[in-house]
Amino acid sequence: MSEQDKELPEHVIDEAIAWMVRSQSGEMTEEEQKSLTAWRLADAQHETAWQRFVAIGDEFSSISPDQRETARKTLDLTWDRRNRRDTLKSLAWIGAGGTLLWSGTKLPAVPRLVADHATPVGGQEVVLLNGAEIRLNTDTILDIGSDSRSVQLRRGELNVAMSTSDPLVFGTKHGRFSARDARFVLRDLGAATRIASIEGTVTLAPRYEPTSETEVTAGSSFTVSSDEVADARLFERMDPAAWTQGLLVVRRMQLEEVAAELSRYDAGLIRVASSVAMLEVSGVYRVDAIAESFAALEAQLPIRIEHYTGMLTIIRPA
Amino acid sequence: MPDVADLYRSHHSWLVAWLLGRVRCRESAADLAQDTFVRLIGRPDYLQVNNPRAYLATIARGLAVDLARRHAVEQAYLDVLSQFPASVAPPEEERLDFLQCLSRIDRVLHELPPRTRRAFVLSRLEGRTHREIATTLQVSISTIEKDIAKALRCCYHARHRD
Repeated sequence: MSEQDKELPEHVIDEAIAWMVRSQSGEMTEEEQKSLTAWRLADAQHETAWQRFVAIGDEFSSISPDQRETARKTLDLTWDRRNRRDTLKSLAWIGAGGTLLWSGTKLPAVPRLVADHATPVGGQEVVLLNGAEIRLNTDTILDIGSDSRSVQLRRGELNVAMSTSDPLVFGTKHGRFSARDARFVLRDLGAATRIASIEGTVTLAPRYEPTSETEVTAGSSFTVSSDEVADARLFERMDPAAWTQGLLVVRRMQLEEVAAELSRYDAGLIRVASSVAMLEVSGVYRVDAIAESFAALEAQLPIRIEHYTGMLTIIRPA
Repeated sequence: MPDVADLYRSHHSWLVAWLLGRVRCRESAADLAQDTFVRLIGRPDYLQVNNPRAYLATIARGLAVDLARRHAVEQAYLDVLSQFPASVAPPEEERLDFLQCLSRIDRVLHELPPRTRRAFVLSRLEGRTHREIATTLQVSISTIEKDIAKALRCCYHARHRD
């Protein structure tokens, strides 16, 4: 066995890791630097272990500094896609009537991890704020209050996963939604705002009557308009957070509504003939590959889909 | 006792067909079959193997997974370049090295939890301090230190135990 491959005692490896972590912290003192040198000199095995960890770092430093951001984004994207695919594999709960439509030829769009709080049509983005991870869906605009304790959803949709000691408040045209420890989806529907709680409880205070609060518990959903709070019963029809995985998951939803959902992710117009608008659809569709999703619908239902110049799609009876 | 030529004659076309069922590309399957035999003869005991096909399939499966992983990195790289036009790409002649380097990092780190991976990459690739990483990822410095330690251990074992 060569020197290179010799096994080192576990405690030496542990110590080398502890020193390596410290030396990478960016806050190592001169005193600690001296202790590290002394440790390396104390035993040949210490130095061997240390050099092995230095060599691990060399893998990274072989990438030139100006290319490191590209490298980091490439790795982030690779791993993000792999996570999504693993999630897809676990989507086993689709009912017997549903169809899993997944071509696997193209992968979901990139969530950009940059702090710019507006997404284009078809985009997604993640914002981290005081212990909350806020994911913006397609065509969404978000403002963050100067105190970082309140957020205003101007348009579009958010998926929020949070665990904070102080409540974080999300405002929309129609009300205020506050939570501490919850996962929920908030969507501006234009004439109303819809809230769906996946985990934990969100408190809804309508703008028209801020004192009459509604507790939105896990698995429930409500819409609030300028004069009414109503039970949305959303979970029966769709998985509100599926878009975070690049998907639209619906159960017995009308074709017209499915087409409307898909159209949010595409700049083109979609029209559905009234004779097929009420057809019931169950299945899993891609929100980042609209053409594929329409092709899947066409295969599943007695419909014909016509595309004009890429900007207009018409769904007719077959 | 069979020699390597016998092994090749008896199992090569079977192996290509087996690989074709996994990678769905004739050229990749042929390349991988070649690599599989090269790996096989690199092992001291290859002539004593009882069930050569099972042995070949084990090697080939690992190579096919590696290839898929390399393709995923390459595709992500192309997508990053097209979606972030300001990205700095390596010069053409260094591109392969760059992608191979990322693939090696991916292979070592891919099984770590996402935050651990991110913390390590931010530390090693972007040279950020633990305090900065803690702020970015919204966790405590001690959590970041545990993440970095875990990732270092994982890298160490990948290099010195396999």
